[in-house]
Amino acid sequence: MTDDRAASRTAAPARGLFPRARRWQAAFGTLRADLAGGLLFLALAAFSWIGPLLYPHDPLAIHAHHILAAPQARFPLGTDDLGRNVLARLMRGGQTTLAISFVASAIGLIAGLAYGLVAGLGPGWLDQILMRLLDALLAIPTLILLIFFAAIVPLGEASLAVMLGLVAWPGIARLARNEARAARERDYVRAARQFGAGRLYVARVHILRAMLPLVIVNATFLMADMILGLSGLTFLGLGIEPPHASWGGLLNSGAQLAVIDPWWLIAFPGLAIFLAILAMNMLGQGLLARLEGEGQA
Amino acid sequence: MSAGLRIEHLSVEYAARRRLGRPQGDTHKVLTDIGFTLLAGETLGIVGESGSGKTTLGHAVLRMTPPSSGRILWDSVDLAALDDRGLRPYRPHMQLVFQDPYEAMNPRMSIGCVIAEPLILACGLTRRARRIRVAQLASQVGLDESLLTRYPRELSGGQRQRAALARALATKPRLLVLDEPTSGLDVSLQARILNLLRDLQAEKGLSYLFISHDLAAVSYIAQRTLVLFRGHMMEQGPTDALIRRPAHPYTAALLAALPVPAERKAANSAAEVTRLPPDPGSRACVYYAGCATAQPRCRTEAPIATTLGDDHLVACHYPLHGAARDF
Repeated sequence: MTDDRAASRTAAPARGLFPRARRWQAAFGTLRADLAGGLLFLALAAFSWIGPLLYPHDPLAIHAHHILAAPQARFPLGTDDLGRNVLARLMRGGQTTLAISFVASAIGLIAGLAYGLVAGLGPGWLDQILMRLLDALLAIPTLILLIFFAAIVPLGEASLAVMLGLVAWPGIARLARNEARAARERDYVRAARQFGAGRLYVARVHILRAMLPLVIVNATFLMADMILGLSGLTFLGLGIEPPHASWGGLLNSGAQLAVIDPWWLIAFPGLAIFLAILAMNMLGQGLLARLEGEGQA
Repeated sequence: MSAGLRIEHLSVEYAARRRLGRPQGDTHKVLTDIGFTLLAGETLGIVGESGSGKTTLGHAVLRMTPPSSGRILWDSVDLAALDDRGLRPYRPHMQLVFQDPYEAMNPRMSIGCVIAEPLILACGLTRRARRIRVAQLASQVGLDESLLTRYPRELSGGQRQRAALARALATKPRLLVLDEPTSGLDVSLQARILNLLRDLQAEKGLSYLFISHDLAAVSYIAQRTLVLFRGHMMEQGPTDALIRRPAHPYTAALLAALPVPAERKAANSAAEVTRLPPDPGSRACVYYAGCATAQPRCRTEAPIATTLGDDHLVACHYPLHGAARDF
């Protein structure tokens, strides 16, 4: 593999109509989408967790004389309507947003895999029942479902993660079910059965292994969905409750004061959400492209 | 007589459609009333055109496809009567080499892991013992040890076939079902795989159920041959006799369809026969429509397998030779 890359690098002569374009391509061609996305995400995580160590300011402290202050030396990203430091809140908000999204993705992933594998490996009638249930669930818009849950469950970080995760699993479940259905007709699964393999062995060794890369890719997309979902829910006032900071909540407080136009209250949380989702999508797309390339080899 | 495998009146049917796991409506017969005996160390060739039920027969013998009736006697134990749990001790005795070795290997497992899989599942060996056994199996089938860390897609067709064979041999089986083991290979490789199969048989006393549409390969490796047509046994007997003097018109037609070098090709044009369609209500011979020597009787009455002596059976009212006329 490394040989191939080295060969293609030396084989492509830097000639042509647009030598400069080629140089650009050479510089950015090596910067892979998955790598860039991963780095961007790491940067955001570092901002959220390492940032507070370098910029130790209380995100809840109220500075009564600096209400809605524009970015300045003392408050690099300004203050909100209660005079709280936006940079500190953005860091703390990143912690809650990313952590809850991550846990929610993990819950969605595990629930989806389990459900999908049971449907895919179980008898046909069970598959029918489980898949029709899934269809019914998918027919309800996610946001409506979330609002419904938010209305009946006391809101907290843990309950938010569980709620989001339980809304997220159907996509993964369908993926797992289809992969399992396809794999169990494969000759290598029939061979394993002939050697005396049970359903659990087949699920673990042949099916999970076959779909692991696809699952990883989908987990990154799921993470992006979770960030957006959590931020959207909080923006609607149903997610993380004030005074706790979160990206969606910050955006909400900015939007409510839109008449005064505190641009720093909208731009910075918005940028953070945008970058986090961009990072996860780049990571997912890059991994997917790499996966497909591998399949062709 | 130390019969290794004895098949009696084996039939396989598929339900035309299933609802909630239960067969509904008409059934489709894939195999009808097949019987044969395969002695230890012997090879039985199964020939027939595509769709004749060859692969199903192989799978049914291994109980990978459930038989709808009949007996599968292995050392006088009826495997057809056992459930999954009961079958478990017998599974290692018989193995299948799949039609397409590539499809039969997990693309994400190295060849070494592929070969080791039955060892993990069937025999409780330590990791170290397993590695030694895998290396030993690889050398038995002439697979270079350096290939064990490669992935299936990195191997050539011949190497994959050898790896598939090594895996099938891992549980020290006494019977191998070889499903078209040479169909995907070029001619020189075919000969090498056939020779390898012969050597392994001589060395280990293996029995082979050799499924193929290639009569040349079958005549090279099989002492006895069974000819299938649409799930029915047409003829079975010693391969030499069957090929030199086919008794069933279908066997003769199969042999005539073999490509022959131009100068030796006589006028064996199998002219299309047009005749009355089989009577829907009656039980016509399955080969009636294609038969060159069919008589009115074949239209109304299915022939029963009759012996021509020397273990040579033919299911035809009017065999091309022999003393079986009118039992």
